[in-house]
Amino acid sequence: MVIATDIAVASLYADPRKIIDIDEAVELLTATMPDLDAKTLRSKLTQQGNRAFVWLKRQVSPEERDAVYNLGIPGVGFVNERRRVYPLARLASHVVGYVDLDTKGIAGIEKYLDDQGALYTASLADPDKHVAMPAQLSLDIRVQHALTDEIAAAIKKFRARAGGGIVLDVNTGEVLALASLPDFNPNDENKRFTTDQMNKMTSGVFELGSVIKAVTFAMAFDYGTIGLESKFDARYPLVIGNARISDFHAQRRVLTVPEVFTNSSNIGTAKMALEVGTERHQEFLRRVGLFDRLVTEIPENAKPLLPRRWSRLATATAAFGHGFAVQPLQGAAVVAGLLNGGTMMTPTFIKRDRAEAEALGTRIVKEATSETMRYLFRLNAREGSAGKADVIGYRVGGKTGTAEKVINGRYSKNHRLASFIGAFPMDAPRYLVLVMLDEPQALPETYGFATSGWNAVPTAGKIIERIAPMLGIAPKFTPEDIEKLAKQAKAAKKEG
Amino acid sequence: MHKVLNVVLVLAVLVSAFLLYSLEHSTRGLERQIAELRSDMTDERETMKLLQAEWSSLTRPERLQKLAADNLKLQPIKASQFAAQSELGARLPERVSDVATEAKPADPINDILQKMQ
Repeated sequence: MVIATDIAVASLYADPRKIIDIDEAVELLTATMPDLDAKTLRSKLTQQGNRAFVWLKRQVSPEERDAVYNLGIPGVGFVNERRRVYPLARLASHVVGYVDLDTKGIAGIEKYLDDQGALYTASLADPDKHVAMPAQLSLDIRVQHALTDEIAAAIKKFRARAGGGIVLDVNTGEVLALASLPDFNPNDENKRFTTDQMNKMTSGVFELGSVIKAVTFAMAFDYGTIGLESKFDARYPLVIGNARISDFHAQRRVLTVPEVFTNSSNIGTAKMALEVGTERHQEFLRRVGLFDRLVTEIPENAKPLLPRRWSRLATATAAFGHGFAVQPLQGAAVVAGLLNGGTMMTPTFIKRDRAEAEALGTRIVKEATSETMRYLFRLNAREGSAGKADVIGYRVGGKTGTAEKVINGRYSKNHRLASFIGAFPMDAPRYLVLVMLDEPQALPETYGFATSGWNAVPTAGKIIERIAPMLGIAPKFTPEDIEKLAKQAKAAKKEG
Repeated sequence: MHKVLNVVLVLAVLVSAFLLYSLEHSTRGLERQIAELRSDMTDERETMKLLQAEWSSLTRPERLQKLAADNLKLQPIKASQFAAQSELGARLPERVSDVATEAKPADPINDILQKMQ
């Protein structure tokens, strides 16, 4: 698929001094190109009669050009211009970016390639020698469309303000799809886009909320301060100074580590981070790169927003993603690193193979830690908050997050950011899926809930069901799964 | 003796002048051909680019999805519809006659094409 290409276009100009019969010329030109206005054309040719050059029409189609040539009007001619076109229009527009009128890249990959000199050399190079090859992106257009389509449907259904999603190859760090809605059409002449249309996945930072708990768990496992059998007392809210940390789905009992994960207990996670200690917590976050700005080929990127002072309270809240905002792409990259065996790779939008990626990767956690994380993610999809993303057969694992948005400097209970990060197949993760919905609303069918499990998670499930066959993931069924499927089929029959 | 030599030399000059001229003439012809072919190639390349862009635009997933939804009765594949080769035996109907072999398989795309004609 060609995502962006230069095509030659002809632009029609006139030299009014050389036109013998202006009335005839106007008549002939408007007859061949009905969209030309006779009145303005005439005034252009008569009033600017002393000028030697007047544009009549920019970017004329080849058919029209031939027709005008056949008219044989003296004083009318064409100038060849180049124009960059994006045949896929809105699809992947945030990744591709766009160019200015002089075909200089000013956003997205277009800017990156231009800064690399690729486009420039390609335009200078002798086309006969094929010196410059087109750049190949890591995007999979089919996946990109499925992602965009499902997220657009979710925004509509849950009346969300905006949304976005990422599909990442966890073993190479290649971005297969990245969508941020509302998007834009790079073919538009007028590129005065609003801030709503910015790339939320890289140029905005968001509190991913409980999704960040995965990082805290990985840290505690990696330092060996917890095991799967460890227990945390979540009976009472955690009080630090004059702040209280409580749970959204309060269990008011002692929770085991897997229960802390599946119930997304803030108290348990905060205690876990405090056990590790403020110093080591910071050290770990630095190791996974969450202290630094993530730089990929896309020039639009934002720096993480971290607590200014790392007090005990900051450690406790950052443990569950409070007061800690990152680019969604960065969050996805870290989780990919935790699940793929412990190697963190900078995500890329340019094609690369596994060997290349492994050479670039850095180890962030032990192999064993990664394995435990996979177990917890899978467990959470089977029994926990990410249940609606568990597409039977594809062994999905995931973590949800619902963060309260900061409105006028305060956390608002009614403005939420719902997110989901998951991966499949969990026995040997290949692809990571991130879904984010900005202010989804509660619906009657979600029983009045507007938390991630009711909107971002089912959306992710739909995405996975669509993309898994495209990506060649073979489904596997346990006897339990087959029972579940039979039940679903029965229920569907009853309804239909 | 000199006369003969002069005549021979004059002839040689004439012959080589003629040869040179005809060579140059044919070279010019070839050069013109090269230039023409070059410009044809550039045109073809431009056309290729244009056609590739058009192909991309026509095979946009968004457009295909709409066309498929409007004209075909296909649905996205469900995980349960996949089967391993070893399980095929269990999934096939017992007797071939159970499947309607007589009925001509519907070809909605062909129907649309015929309607267009």
